[in-house]
Amino acid sequence: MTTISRLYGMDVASPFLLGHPAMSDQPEIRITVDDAPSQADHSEPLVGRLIASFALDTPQYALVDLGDEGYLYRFHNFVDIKIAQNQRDLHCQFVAGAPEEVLPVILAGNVMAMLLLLRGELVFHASAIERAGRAVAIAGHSGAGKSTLAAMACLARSKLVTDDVLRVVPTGIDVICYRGTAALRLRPSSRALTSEIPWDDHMSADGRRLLSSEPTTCDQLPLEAIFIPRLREADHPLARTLLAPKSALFALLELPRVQNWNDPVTSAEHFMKLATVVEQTPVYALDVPRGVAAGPSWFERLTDLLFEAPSVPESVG
Amino acid sequence: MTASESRVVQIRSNDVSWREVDGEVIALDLRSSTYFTTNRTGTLLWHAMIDGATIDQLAALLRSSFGISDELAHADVESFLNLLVANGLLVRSG
Repeated sequence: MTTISRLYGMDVASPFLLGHPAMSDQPEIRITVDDAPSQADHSEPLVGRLIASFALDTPQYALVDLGDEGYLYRFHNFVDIKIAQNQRDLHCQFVAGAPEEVLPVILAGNVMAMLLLLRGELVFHASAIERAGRAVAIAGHSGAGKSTLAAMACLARSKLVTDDVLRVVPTGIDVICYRGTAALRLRPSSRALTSEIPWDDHMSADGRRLLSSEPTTCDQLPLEAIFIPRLREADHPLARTLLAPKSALFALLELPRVQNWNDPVTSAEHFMKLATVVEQTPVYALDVPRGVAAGPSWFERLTDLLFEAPSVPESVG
Repeated sequence: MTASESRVVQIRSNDVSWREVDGEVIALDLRSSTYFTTNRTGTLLWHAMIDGATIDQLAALLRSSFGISDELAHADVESFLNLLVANGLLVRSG
């Protein structure tokens, strides 16, 4: 059965619900899953122009350009995703015995991020929340606290825009962002936080604590500010520091959603769009004290700080 | 005027993407995936070198913009050009 989901401003047809209900019955992206397992040897080097790759002790994923045949996005020993040259049709084929239940998580996150980047879109490694029709983003590396801080804000009357992947578009007039995933994926280390959560929670297929927060009803929102958390000593006050545009640009360039991206055309587009964004949108370093005893009043203080209007003049860090 | 100072120097245009942010140029060299930034003096020279300029023209620009001596202006230009050469961003012609 095919479901059409709305995700990052696109209607996506797939066997899974990946985001929010679709806005049309004409999907822009079509994802299919092969019943037969892949026969490819994942230990063999990929043929094609390497666009992105990531490895730890062993290769994790790679994206290659196959020319007229499109692209291949390989999660090693898990799944091959063939992306057509039109960048609209995706076909997934699992390695025999792979945990197929993880695929929706991968599709909504890594795969859609990769697809957006291939299309020249600006993608932040960020979660985002909304209050009163305005969105703020929390950007950072994996483990920086994006989802945790977003969850705290959602506990203080904010609504979830997206978790971990944020599509941002500088329109020339303003900067907008798109609604993404409908749930937050938290690490088990957020257990202390989750004791405060009033809604039902359960585990995602990839072992994260999956929390459904009230999502925004807006498909797209103005992006009012971007925050980059930095963990501080326990006695450090919760505070924000405005970054100069040049510092903000370099700070965000160091937080790619996809590691080791190596395509000149899309890299140039990404750079130019990001430069436009930092000129129009304030970027703050967000000082978060370590080991804070988080409770409702702290969540309110955090959220008020995230949505506080820029003061004029505001000191630049 | 030496022959070298009348030669045209130019910022490489192939595979270089750049923006001026807050008065400073940030350039992305797409061949090496590295970034190059300038201070305000460098920004002035960068803009003048997009379509090519001689060293003498660049030095004159700094003299008129900052009221510095010809000797200092040429030294600043040479210093900037050396940075561009080190980063593979300079094209010489003429």
